[in-house]
Amino acid sequence: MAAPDEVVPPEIPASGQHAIQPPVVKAKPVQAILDLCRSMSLWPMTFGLACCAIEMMATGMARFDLARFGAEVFRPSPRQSDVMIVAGTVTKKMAPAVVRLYEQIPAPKWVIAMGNCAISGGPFKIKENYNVIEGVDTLIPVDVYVPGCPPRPEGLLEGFFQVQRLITGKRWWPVAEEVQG
Amino acid sequence: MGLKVLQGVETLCVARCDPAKTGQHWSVFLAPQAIVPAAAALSAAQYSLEDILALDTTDGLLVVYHFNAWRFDERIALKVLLPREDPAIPSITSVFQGAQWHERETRDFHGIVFEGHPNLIPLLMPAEDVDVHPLLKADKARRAIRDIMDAGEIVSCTGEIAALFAPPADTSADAARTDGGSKA
Amino acid sequence: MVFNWLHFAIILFLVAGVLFACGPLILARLLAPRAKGGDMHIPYECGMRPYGSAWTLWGVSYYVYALIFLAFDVDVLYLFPVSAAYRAVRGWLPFIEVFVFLLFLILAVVYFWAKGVFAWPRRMK
Repeated sequence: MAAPDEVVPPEIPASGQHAIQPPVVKAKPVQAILDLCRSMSLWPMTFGLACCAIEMMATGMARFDLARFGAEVFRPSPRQSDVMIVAGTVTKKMAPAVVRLYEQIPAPKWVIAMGNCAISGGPFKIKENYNVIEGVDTLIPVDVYVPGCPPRPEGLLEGFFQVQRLITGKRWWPVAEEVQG
Repeated sequence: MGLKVLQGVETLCVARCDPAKTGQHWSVFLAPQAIVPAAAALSAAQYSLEDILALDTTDGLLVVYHFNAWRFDERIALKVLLPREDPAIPSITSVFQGAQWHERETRDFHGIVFEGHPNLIPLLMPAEDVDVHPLLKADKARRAIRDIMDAGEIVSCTGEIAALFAPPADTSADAARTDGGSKA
Repeated sequence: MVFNWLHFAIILFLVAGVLFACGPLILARLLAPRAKGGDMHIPYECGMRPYGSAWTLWGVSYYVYALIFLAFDVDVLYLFPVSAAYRAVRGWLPFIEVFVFLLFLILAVVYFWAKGVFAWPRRMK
């Protein structure tokens, strides 16, 4: 049989230890150009934890294609990604990993909380809840919330456009028209 | 017409079940000491362990082991009733190594101690919640075993197990009985 | 010091190469915000705390390959001045001398080939 596991108690780093320093050169035009370039090539980190991951995969696939808008590849490593899409339920056991991965993403970085579980605990926010973190924004700073259980791929695309709007100040893609009938 | 594969194992109650209603062919109640010989007999007859779970009832904690013979269609449920204070049962990991994680899960959710388990630490619960057992019910929510499952077609039974399934003595409890063969 | 355009070109090429490599690093340091602290600087291990040593067992094929490479690399080093000076010589004798040198290298290659070093993963006899 396998050797007994060690119970390693989790260590969530104390808040305040992780900080993002502003850039050395703060010239507006330079940063504006850089922001435009960054917003058009946001590489997400695959952080699918539960059912929302399926919708995130669907958004990356042919019909909805997140790569059109700059998310060319989903990087599994935080070192190569810009935006962390927390797609799914965060449990107490997973919480230290979420925080650690967020801190390992180099700046500038953004976080999309996708789905009701990541926003507030979703269907698990009940009195008997014993294991679910009620909202990933209790752990890491979130930029955009995409509600839904799970949100449709169009919803995640909208969340992505909102991140781009946060970075550059304007929305670049047309708003979909109401579908009649 | 007894259960041949468990011959030689001391059983408390053997009953045939309706697989269409319950999914099991046989339901066998055992004393805690008999579970390891029973698992050994089933393993020798090439049955696979499917699941280990526990139910919190008014009669105590019922630990259920599901076994399946894949070569022919026979599913057996071994059931062991434990007292709610200090529930302990021998571990079957010496026979079925795959039971390691099932027993850890059952300990996490119900607090049942599996004696002889090589690594009984939290599996699904976080490490700091080792004493939190979420599936233990409040007194109001607990049901009796007779309300959760049918006795089935009893082949041989001791008095205590038969008493579990006997209808309650006072009629006021009859109103609380619900139909249904599915386990809670 | 005599100024030579060729030397200047070589130095310029060297500087351009270094800038090509270090330029993006310097630009990133100047223009991008910087995240530090917390768990930023520990090794990435899928969100878990790094466990165990990074010094693990590797196949010995790598070692043997590297050893042979090193040996032949030194031989090639000896052949550089030969190739530079070869066009100034005449006659068959220099050719025979170089060929004798190369013959021993070829014999070494044949030996390693027979030993099975070039089959990967190693099936050495």
